[in-house]
Amino acid sequence: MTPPRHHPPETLLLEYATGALREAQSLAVATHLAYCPDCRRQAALLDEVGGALLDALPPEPLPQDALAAVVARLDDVLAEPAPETRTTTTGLVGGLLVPEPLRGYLARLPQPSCWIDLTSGVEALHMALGKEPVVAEILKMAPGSSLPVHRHTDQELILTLQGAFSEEAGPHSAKGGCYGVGDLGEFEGGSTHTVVAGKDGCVCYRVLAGPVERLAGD
Amino acid sequence: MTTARSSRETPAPAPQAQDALLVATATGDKAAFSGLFHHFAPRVKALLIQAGTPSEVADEIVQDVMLTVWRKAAEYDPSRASAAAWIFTIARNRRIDLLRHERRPEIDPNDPELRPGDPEDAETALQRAEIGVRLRNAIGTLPREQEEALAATFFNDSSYGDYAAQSGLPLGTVKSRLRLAMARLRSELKEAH
Repeated sequence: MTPPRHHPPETLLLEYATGALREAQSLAVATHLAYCPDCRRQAALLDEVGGALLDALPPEPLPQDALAAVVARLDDVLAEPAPETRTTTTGLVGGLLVPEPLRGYLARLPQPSCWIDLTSGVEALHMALGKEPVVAEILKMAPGSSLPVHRHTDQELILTLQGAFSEEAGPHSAKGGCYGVGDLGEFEGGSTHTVVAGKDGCVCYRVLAGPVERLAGD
Repeated sequence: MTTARSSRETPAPAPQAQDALLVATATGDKAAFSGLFHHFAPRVKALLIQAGTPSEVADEIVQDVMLTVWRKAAEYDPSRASAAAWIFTIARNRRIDLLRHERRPEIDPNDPELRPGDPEDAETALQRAEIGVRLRNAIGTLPREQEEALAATFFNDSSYGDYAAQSGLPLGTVKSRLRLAMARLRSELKEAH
């Protein structure tokens, strides 16, 4: 497997590291990290930056009994064994095996979950993550199917889990990149594109921070 | 208000000594845990105060964070992170959980589906500790406005966009300061190799 070619921009990794990024978007970034050793190193470096900044902070005085209060509770707190890795697969997307953390989120989806038709050959499974107007969903595109030219009112993050899609030249935009397994696309608010699934179709996780406007094709 | 005097009396443990305290904490060593508490608990509180948490609420979250450190210490791997970074992540995640009622999705390092990195890129605990020291020095050499943008981004429970709004700086300026800061830190780490 080739490593991913499309990575989250540094500012997105930074927001993931600081904790400012919301859950739905963090899920896209974290699952990309599972596919991408390079970005994992970047993320680890950012955690180290957080640690170094924490270490350099001037200490803020605590109540005098703070340590004693915590130590008194230590024996009541059971040390946790390292968590076990769950290897549950889900039949939701045809037995598709995805890495954590997305796998766990898929396993916790209510059953039965229903797919809705977005357009011909394109189905979406809603994930109930994030508040309106945020939409987090699994997108399944049949081979050669497309999402006709559309404009994003706000940021879109899209992570390919199987197959590939590409941004084709359309009436309002030029040809863009091709996104294979593990690739994370970030499209800012105001961007316009036409998305076409590759010859084997594709399955993606995507987060829309705001509504999408269909544009009339010429 | 009476205050704990410990942090003023004991010299701060060096990063590698912090890592050793956390490793010992994993074996149930309460003295090692107390050492970590002396150093980090007042700094975790400082982090929370900077993020706008009222002092009493911060005191409770500090307790919760330090108990989580005790509970999860067995998961700590000194070849992957420094104690400071690991405790930073615990504090960050507890803050997201308690104040925002959200989970923070994270990779599972033992997941068989995780695409492995190049084994040659793996660092030993010693190399990782050296990187930590160089990183601290490098942060100290950042231009003041870059360090400030970085610290504000790390300590506020908000995006760098909010920092831009609060400081009155254009968003593009904040983004470029953050990028410059990270580029500089990365190049300092490379040069020292």
